[in-house]
Amino acid sequence: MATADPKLSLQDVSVTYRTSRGPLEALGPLSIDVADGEFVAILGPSGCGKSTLLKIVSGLLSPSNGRAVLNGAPIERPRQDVGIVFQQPTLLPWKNVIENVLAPIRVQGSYSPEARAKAEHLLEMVGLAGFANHYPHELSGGMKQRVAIARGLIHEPHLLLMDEPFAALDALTREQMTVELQAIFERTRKSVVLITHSIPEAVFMADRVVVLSARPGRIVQIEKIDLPRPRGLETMVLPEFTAMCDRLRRLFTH
Amino acid sequence: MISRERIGDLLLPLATIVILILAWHYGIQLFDVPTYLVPPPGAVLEALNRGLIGGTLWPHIGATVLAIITGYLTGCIMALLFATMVSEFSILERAVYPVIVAFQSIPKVALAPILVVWFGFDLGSKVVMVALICFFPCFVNAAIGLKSYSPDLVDLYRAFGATRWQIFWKVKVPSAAGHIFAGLQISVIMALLGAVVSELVASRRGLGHVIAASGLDFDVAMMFACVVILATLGVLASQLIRFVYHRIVFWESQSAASTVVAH
Repeated sequence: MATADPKLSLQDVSVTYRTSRGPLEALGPLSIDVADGEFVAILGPSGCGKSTLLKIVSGLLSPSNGRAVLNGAPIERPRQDVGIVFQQPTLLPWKNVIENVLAPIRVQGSYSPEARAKAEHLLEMVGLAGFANHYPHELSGGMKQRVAIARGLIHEPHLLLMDEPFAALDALTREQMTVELQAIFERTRKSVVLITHSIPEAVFMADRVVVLSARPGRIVQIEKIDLPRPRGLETMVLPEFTAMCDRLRRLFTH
Repeated sequence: MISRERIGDLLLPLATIVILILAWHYGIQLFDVPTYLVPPPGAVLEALNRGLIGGTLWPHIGATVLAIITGYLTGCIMALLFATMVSEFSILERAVYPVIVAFQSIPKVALAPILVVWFGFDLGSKVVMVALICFFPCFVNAAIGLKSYSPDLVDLYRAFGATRWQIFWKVKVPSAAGHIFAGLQISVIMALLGAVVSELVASRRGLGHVIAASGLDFDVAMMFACVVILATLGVLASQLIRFVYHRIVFWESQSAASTVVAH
């Protein structure tokens, strides 16, 4: 995919934490470009600085070196054109489903009946129509994560950041959610950065897979995934799919 | 519909109380305890009748309840303000928190005579005493609660572009609600204690005053009657707080675990 006008551009970004035992290199230096409408999966072992990367892109952390640019403007503080989905659903237990989806809108003070209609539409898209007035403690883990995805999309971000969004789910729900997220992506065509340590998940969803090394996270390899879209369960049995998974797996087990 | 279990939860404690009263009644007959030391339940009932139906106790109940409510609100509001400051500004946490904990080791009851000198025999000294004694449990629990939020939730709100006070009101305060109610619950019982101690020391009105005065008259039944009224007030107040807690903090089904019980 062309990266002539990247949506997100990380240029020689690195992060070094100061600890009592001296500086700790957590990430990079690394450079990644994500094009408009592109789905990039970042694949790496535990402790490769994936969460640090997420904090940089969401503006919660400034890189020690390098530049992070989103939509032509440097990321200096949290900004409202990024949607985030964490590993845990991180919902407000005291708000019902629709209010959880609307939380970013409420913070930004831009609530309107249209926003509510949009939230209802998003809930329908993630398969939670009719659950608007339920509370998080009444939902299963998979349903909560669907709410989190709807919340990540409510303010129409340019970029959706996902940090192992399905890691806390059981295997069956996880596979189902992967297929559904894929379908949502094909409908909305947002730029997506998915952080994961599941190889099949990365290959199934992404246009490109960026493989990171263990700490400090550096780019080991970038693989373009040419599997035809739309992708569904049948994609997972294609020989190309299996071959790509195999190739990536070998990077971790040399 | 009230379930069979709920009815049991109401009836079983009542049965215990009835058994205790019967044991009291027959115990003093059996061991021949002089009634001027321990009055039989009937005499206490008679004293209650004298005070409540006869009406002599109502002004005193009113005075005690007024002191409790005013002092409780003052103490708890101050506690919540201090807990907010301490949890939001780390410099204040380091400067103020240890001092408050140190002050807590003063037995507040010992201050009662001083408070009477400063604030007089009436409402003033009682309210100050109740407020002082309510402050700490409420403060400690709220301060802990305001720090027990999920860091992910705060990160998420920061990523939404929320301001510090938006995060405080939308994330930290609701996260602390369970702890705050635990503090309010402990404080309400402490409030009763504070009011009665104050009235025992020096006061012209209130149930504590009636207990002290009845003691001089050897009216032990009336002293017991006042204790029964105080116990009832305590149970009612504490149940009221519990009720409000379950209404407001509906998402925490279990009764407030992980609470600091301090007094």
